[in-house]
Amino acid sequence: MVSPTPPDPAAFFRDMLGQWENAANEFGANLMKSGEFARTVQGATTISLKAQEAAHEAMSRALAAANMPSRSEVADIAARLQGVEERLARIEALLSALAGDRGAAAPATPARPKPKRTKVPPPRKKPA
Amino acid sequence: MSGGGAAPAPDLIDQARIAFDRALQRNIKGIGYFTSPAPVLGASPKDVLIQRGTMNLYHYRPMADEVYRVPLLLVMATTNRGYVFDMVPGQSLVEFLLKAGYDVFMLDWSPPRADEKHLGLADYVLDFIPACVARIAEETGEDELTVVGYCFGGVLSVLWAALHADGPMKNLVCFTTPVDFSRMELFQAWADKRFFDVDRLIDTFGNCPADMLYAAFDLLRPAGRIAGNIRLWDNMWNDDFVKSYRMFDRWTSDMLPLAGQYFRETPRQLIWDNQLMEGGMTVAGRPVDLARITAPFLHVVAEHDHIVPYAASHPLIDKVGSADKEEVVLKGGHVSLVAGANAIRRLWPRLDEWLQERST
Repeated sequence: MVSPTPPDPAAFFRDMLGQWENAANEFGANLMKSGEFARTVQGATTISLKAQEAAHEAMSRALAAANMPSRSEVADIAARLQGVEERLARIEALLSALAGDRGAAAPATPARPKPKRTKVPPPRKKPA
Repeated sequence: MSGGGAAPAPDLIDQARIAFDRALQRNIKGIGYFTSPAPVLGASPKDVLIQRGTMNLYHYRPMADEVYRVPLLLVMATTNRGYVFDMVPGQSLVEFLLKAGYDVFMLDWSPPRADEKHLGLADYVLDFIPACVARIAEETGEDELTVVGYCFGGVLSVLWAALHADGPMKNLVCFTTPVDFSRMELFQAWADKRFFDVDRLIDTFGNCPADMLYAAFDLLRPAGRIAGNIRLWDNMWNDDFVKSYRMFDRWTSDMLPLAGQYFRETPRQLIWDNQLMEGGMTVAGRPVDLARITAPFLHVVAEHDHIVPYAASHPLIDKVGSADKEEVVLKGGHVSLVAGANAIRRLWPRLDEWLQERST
C-alpha cells in the first residue's frame, strides 16, 4: 500500500510565489500600457529634465563666473585625451608592425601558431 | 531530465530534516553571499583587435587544433555587455564554440563617451561592423564570415547585411531579433510620441543614461525583482543556483548608456514609424531591403521572451530573402535563450548543428 505524500508547505509557497509574480507582472503590464501611465511618467520625466537643465545652467554660469571649467568641459577634455591615447596606441602598433617587417626589431613575443582552417563537420548519425 | 522512476516521497520527518538543514545553510551561506566576491565573468583568453571609443573587437584564442574555415563574429546588443556569451567556464557560449572548432570574434561595446554622443545608426552599421569585418579578414585571411547578432545586435547585423548583400557574409544567425516594433507593446506605450520628448532627453544628457534603460527593462516585469530576491533566499543553500543568480544579476544590472544620436534615431525609425516592418527604413540615406539578404539564415526566438515577444521577432524570417532559412522557437526567455543551463541544453547544440556544414 502506498502511503499518502505529506503536504509540503515549501512547495506550496513556491507555487504561490510563481502565481503572484505572474499576476503582478500581468497587472503591471496592463497598467503601463495605458496612455495615462505614459503621460504621467513622461510628465514626471519632463519635469525632472527641466530641473536638471536649470541646475546645469545655473552651475555652468557660477563656474564660468569663478573662471572654472564645468563638469561637462572636464569630461570632454578627458574623452579627447582618451581619444588621443587610443590614436597613439594605434600609431605605436603600426610602427611596431613596420619595424617588424623591416627586421629592425624582433617581436617581443613569438606569434602564436594559428590552427589549420580545415575542419570538416563530423559525420551525421544515421537515424535509428 | 532523469530517465529513472520517481524518487520515493519523503516522510514528514525527512521533510522537516531537509527544511531545517536548508534553513541552517541559508543562514551560513547568506553571510558568505554578502562577503564573497562576485564571479569573474567574460574571462576566456582573448586578444583585443580593435578598441575605438565604444567599439571593441575581440578575437578569442582557439581551443582546437583545427578550426572551420569560416570565422564567426558575434555582434552584441548595444544596451548590454558581451560577456553574456562568455559567463564562466562550462557556461560560456564562446568556450563552447571554440571547443567545437570555430574561430570566434566578438563585437562588444563600452559605454559611449561624452564626445561620442553624435554617433548614429549609420556609424554602427556602416562604420563599426564593416571595420570589424575587414579586420577579421585581415586576421584570418578568409574573405567570408558568419555573423551572429543578439537582440539589437541582430538588428544592426541585418541592416548591415541588407546594405552589403554582395559582401563577405557566408551565414547570418539572429537570436531573438525584433523587426515588428508595433508588437513590442510596452516600449510602444512608453515611447508614445505624444508624451516622449526624445530630443529633450538627449539634449539634457548627451547620451541616454544606462539607469534609465535599466529602469525601463526592469519595469517590463515589475514583480520580477521582488520574486527573484525571494527565490534567492529560498535557494541560498544551493550553490549552483546562487552562482547562476549572481552571474545573471550582475549582467542584467550592467547596462550601457546609448549614444545620443543613435537613441534619437531608433524610436523615430523603428518604434514610431516601424520602418523595418512597414518599409522605408534608411541608413545614411541608403534604403534597406531585407529581401536582399540571400545568405543562409537562422533565426532563433524564445517562446517566453518578455523583451522581444515572438510576435515582434517572427516576421523577420519572411522578410529575409534567403532560400536557405529557418526559424527555431526554443523554450526560454530573452536571456535564458543564449546563456545558462537552458541555453547549454537547447540553443548551443542546435546552433553548432546548423553552423557545422555551413562553415567549411
